Amino acid sequence: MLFNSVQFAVFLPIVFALYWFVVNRNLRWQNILLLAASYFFYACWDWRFLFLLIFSTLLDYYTGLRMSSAGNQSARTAWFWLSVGVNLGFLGFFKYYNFFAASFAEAVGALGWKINPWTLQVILPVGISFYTFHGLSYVIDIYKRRIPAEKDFIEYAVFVSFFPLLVAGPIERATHLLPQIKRERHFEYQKGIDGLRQILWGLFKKIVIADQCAEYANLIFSQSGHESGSNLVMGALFFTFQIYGDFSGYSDIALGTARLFGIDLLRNFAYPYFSRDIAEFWRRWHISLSTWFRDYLYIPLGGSKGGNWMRVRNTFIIFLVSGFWHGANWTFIVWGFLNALFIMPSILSRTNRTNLDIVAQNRALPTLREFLSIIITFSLTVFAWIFFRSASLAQAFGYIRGICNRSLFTVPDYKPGVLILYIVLFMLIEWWGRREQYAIAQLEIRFPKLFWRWLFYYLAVAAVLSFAGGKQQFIYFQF
Amino acid sequence: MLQFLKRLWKFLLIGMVPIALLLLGYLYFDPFKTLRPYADYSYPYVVPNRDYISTEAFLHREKQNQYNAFIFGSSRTLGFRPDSWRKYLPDTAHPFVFDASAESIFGIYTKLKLIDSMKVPINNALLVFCRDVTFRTDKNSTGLLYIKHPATSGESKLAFQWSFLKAYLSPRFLFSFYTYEFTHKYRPFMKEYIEKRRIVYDKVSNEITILDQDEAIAKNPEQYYAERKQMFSIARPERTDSIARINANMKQMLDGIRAILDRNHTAYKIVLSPLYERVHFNPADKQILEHIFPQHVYDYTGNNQFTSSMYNYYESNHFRPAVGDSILAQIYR
Repeated sequence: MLFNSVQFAVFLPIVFALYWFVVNRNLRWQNILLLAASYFFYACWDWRFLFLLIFSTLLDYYTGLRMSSAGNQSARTAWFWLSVGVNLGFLGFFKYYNFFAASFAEAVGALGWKINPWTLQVILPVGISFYTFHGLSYVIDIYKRRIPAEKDFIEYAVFVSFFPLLVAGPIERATHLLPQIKRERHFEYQKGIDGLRQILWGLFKKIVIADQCAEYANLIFSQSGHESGSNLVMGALFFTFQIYGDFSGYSDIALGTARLFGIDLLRNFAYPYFSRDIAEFWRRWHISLSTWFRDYLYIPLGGSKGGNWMRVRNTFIIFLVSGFWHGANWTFIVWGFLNALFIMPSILSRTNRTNLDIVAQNRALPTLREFLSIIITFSLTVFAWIFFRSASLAQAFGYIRGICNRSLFTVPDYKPGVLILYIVLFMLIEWWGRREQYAIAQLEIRFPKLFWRWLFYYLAVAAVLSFAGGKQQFIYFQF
Repeated sequence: MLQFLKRLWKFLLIGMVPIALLLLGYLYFDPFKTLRPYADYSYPYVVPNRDYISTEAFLHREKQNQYNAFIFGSSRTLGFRPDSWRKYLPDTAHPFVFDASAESIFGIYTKLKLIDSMKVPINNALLVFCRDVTFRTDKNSTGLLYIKHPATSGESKLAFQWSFLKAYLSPRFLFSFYTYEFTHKYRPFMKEYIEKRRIVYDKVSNEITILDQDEAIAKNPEQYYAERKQMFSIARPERTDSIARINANMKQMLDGIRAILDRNHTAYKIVLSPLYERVHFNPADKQILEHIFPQHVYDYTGNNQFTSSMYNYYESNHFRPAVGDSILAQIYR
């Protein structure tokens, strides 16, 4: 069930009505309803994988309890590694088995031996990377004695499977989400309005920006060998806006939906394309994953405490792992490597934490220096996206070769006026609302008159409806 | 909660008013002529979905007209006049032009399947394949002009109607359509949606005639081509299409077409369109066609007596009936 589908438009009001009108006086029943709705939501993709989700949930719940009650450290460690091993085992099997088998066969082939890799027709369970990381953060936190084990299975299962975040995050932490699940929830008018507004903004990003950009990006990438340099640049730009609209749109819908149920999820995006350096970009892009890697990989590896060598090594490790997390393809690994490379100057000069606030915090416009920094960072990001989007490294290198010739200076064939206008409008609204949780969060303050606010909403709804119906899959569901 | 629901209800209610008005307009005007059956689809002022018109015409007039000879292909089939074709067919032939805009192999195959499933005899067939469009997709096409009639595509009627309603609700369409509806004046910004040419569909053979073009050429051919000189002066070095487009699915469809034609003992010819671009059909694709339909494929792509002169074309995409007549004379020789 996609967030941008008719099924979801029916599903959400039904669950909302049951939640606030039927089981509203009983927290236990509210949580049971959320769990049932979440499992139904997940089963709509493929009911067979529901068992995998339930097994993974049971495993982490049980190992969490056993770690908590273990009499000695070795038993505690054993339960911890059992959970980590099984979780990563499932992830490795479903997501990476074929990649490793094929890569091994290629490597052996390069040495002169020919073997046929035993690949499997494995279907990737949707959201496996997300709920595995949910579970892992939970068991790691228990192992490190940051949190106690959750005794109530229903509450723990809601933490893992809460439908707004189940298939593409944000990757939640037990310390943030579990207390909200355990707390009594009462409907708050402002939260409800805010939730709907964020859902609308997410749908706009997904349907109006991402899906329309996807048409051009897909076309240009599919025939990249025959396109001019200027067309290829347009293709990379379209994909840049597609992936941002797609994933941040998804996150907005997830956050807005959760808010309708009285739950606040972690923020996942904070205007990444206005970043002044790559380090800032990574503090603003897929924040829940970046902070997950920071807390559970970078810091345990030593973080930035050691010398330069340690910082460089750890940075490369987390970016390579992050690339690999996205998919079993060398293109993602090179994408991660490139980002590590781009961030190096600020890591080595220890300036990676200079741009912590949003650009032009107290001003309407950036300075020339800030503007140039944004353009450079954006260009580096666009370049790296070419690898992320390409089907293979050969295609990515061919794509870049295609850009680097005289046809770069020709007028591109793809210049859809209406879409470009929408992108410009979208980025202007993002700039205008860059100090808020999401771009139109403060619409009530900026437009105190109901008329103008509602006019904005109606125009956004009209734009969404005029492009709706394509039901394009969200990019991050495949991860 | 009550306050929230009240506000939401008010928002939805106010929002529904313009949507309801637009829906009423849609039902009343039926701009794409897909909501109700029409005896005659001629003189459309909204760019029509030709696939829908052809399929509707076939479904509603098949019994009355006893069709048994069919021309399949894209809008380029307008170069093949049923009256000209009839000269080469038995006296009992009743031709029908079963074309569609940018017709695909999927469209041709599903149309043949429909005819076959209705037990309508296919005694004669002329299949017109175009290098640039026929093998572009092996699925139902998307978009207002190209989506296939549910009777052939097998997709739901609801999904089909939704495509048109969605197109209707786009602001640019609404603006173009209602401006034209109220002023009856064509303006350049309407180009994408409003058809300014006078198009007539023959009520028996479903043949298309674009009156303006034929009248303009008949009246003053020099002026007609002088006005389109730029369109015809594109660089068109003779070359061969390097991209093989026929995939495994399309090959299966071609096999399916062959099976239907064999089952019906159809006398058929396949013409590879003489396009002004002068690009030869991809050799691998042509080989597949010749292998599946031996002795039935007639290649008019590349440089030849037809493609060498702009006077054989209405514009760079469509050849004139004189070309179709000559081709028919050659292939039925």
